[in-house]
Amino acid sequence: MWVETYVGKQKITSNGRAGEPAYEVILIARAKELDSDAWTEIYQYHYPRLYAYLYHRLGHRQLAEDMAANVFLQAFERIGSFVYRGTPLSAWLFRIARNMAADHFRRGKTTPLPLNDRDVACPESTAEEAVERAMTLEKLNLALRGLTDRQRQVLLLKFVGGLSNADVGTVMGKPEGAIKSLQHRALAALRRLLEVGKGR
Amino acid sequence: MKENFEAVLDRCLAQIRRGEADVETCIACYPQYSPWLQGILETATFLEQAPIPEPRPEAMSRGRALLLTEVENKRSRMIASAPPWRQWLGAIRLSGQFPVPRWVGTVVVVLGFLLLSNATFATAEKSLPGEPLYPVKQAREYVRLALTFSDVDRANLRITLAERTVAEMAEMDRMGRSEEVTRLASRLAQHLAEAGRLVEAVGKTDDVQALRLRLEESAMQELVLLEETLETAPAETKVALVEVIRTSGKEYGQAP
Repeated sequence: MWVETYVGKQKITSNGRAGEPAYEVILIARAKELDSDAWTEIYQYHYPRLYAYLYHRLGHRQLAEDMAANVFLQAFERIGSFVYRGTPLSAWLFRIARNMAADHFRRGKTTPLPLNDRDVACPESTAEEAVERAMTLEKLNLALRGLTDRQRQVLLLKFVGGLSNADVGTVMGKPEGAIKSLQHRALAALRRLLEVGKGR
Repeated sequence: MKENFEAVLDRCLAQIRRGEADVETCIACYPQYSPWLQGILETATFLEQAPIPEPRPEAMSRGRALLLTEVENKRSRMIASAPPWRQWLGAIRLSGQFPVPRWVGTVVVVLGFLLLSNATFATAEKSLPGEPLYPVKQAREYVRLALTFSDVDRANLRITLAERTVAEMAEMDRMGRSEEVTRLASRLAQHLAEAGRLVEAVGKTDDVQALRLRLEESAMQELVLLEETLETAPAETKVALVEVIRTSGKEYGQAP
């Protein structure tokens, strides 16, 4: 489905695929015009990944759900100042999420990670599969907690958030080269931690 | 060595993510980094394939409802605080049904301005010296002169303006405003002199014959009117009027 709109004087045409740069420009322009459908589309596409990132970051389902919703409220407040310069909307949203999580920790509100098989429940899965998923998630969570905060963030943004190295750099305020290096160290550290976990 | 490994790792991760390669293929391509690369890539694959915690549908719906309420509230506030024409335009834009570009608003404003301007110009055309809209009338005369490029058209325009100036002079004389009469007389002389110069410059064509006749006729009528004005004009205006009469007489004398 081809979509077209005007952004200022410029007419932009896109293939209407979520995440495609031209489509993002259109979506952002519509969001700035307070188009409810555009906001619904942005929410539906980004909420699950933001939730997953915040879930791993905060270690609390309810908190992650509320904070993910708040990310969109804050994005809505600030969308007027957002200028698309090639950095995808997801990087901007993850940056808001990252800052919110940082504020949460600055206020000293650290919460333990409640491992619960319902958190990763999948409607189609059997009980055994659900248990297995929960165990894998538990293993991953424990290993992630052994990483430094920056190592954990780089892995979460890249592998859970699905961002590119450049976008992870934008979110974390670091150059792409530094992200590659951090990613290498983080994966090596995670490997060691997973190996240790196996031995238990 | 370290830098190279990071580049290799990044390339392998990208290929695996795009489904272009798997761990084994990557290790086969870079045997010098095996088994270190294998361990790292297996960890990355484990991370990629790890179950993703899913939000509860009710939590997601609640968040979406909150967001859309905010969008609606802001939209209502914006529409309510805008002037009526912007409310109308904003309602169309915000409805999202028509991709109305931003410049439509500007065009509407400019069109409105032009309509108002037309009304202003029509009123200004009837104004006399000393009235608020008279400067608009004069400005329009300058613009018309500046935008007329052919000598014949310019001469015609000068004659028209001369006729109009004479009518204004008669009105000012009737009102006893001798200062304005003097000022207008000087402008009239300028129009006539310029019209005469242009007629001369054009040469001998059919257009010029018609133009000469018009100039002669106009100059004759102006001469009659000016002489009438001269009879009743105060002493300070007389000098200017005599000068204009001399110019008009000259143009009249040039006619065939």
